[in-house]
Amino acid sequence: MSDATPAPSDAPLTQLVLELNAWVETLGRFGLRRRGEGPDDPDCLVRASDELEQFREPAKAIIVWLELRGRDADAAEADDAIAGLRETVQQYDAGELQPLFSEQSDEPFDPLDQLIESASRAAGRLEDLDGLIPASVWQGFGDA
Amino acid sequence: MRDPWPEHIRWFLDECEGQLAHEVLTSAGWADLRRHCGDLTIELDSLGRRTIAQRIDRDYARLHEQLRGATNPASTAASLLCADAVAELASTLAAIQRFQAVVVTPHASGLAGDTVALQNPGSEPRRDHEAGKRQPTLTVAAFLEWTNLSHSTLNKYARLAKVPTPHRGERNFRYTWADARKILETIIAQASDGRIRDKCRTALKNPPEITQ
Repeated sequence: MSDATPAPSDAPLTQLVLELNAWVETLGRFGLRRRGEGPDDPDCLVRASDELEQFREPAKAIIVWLELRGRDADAAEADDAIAGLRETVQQYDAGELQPLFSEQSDEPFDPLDQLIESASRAAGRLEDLDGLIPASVWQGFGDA
Repeated sequence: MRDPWPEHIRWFLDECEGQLAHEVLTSAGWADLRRHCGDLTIELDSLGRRTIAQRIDRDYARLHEQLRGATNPASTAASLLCADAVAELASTLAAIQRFQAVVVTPHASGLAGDTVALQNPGSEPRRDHEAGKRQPTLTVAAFLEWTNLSHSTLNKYARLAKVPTPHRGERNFRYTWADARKILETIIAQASDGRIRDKCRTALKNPPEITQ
């Protein structure tokens, strides 16, 4: 992948990976605590599913485009990567993730860590996929 | 091609907020939505866009399942899943609307692999050279209704005829007309029960409307 940020329409999957990685970084630094809208508004906790929503439309456009270009296996891989993350996010928001304890670590692997790991894994899968898809596949993507 | 309705579904389901799931599922709006998704699926299928058609079918089925299972409106998990199912179907329809010009372009899969690659850079050559010829197809339900055979008989002879059969839990599977004929011919040749053979002969003489 190039170091330069590509235009979203030229390389939508690269763009999605970049944005997903940026979200992973934000999660790692601030968790799900976000600044209030006004300067005096207090910080607030947001739902992970609300944050993930920003990726739904771009991801779905990529998946449908890949299917339109006859790359069903690639579309299925992208779909599966995002679906796996979505499932973790729903479990997180529903309070279904429990801290995990391991013998190798004194600290528990808490739900937020699990969420971050899931997001990071999804981004990694999409990045791998991006490396396999020729740039020509995206020709016309930005025209729509 | 009909308008995929991405906003319509969001609007309809927003309107339904606070209603009980069974009220939504028995409403005229839902019947409209079901008909719309069905028609759109058939239309995409006839354009050779089977994978996309299956995606709508799957998203619709998931939303339907979530609504049917939404017995406890107070459950956070249930409401999250339901909202997700709505958003998934809506985003699929939005993507189809966005790429509508490509969707309605004749699907090049019936051409030889190299030609496809030239016309559709980056695409993989289709393995099934028959796939893009807009062959008439039959759903399993339509096949059973047409032939009056049982599900188990159909599966047994489809395997004997060595035609593709639906995987476990696979929705929206369709038999091609050629495969459907092959199954019936296998039954006529191999079934020991004369009534079953007669059913198949009758069916072959009266093909369903979709194959004509």
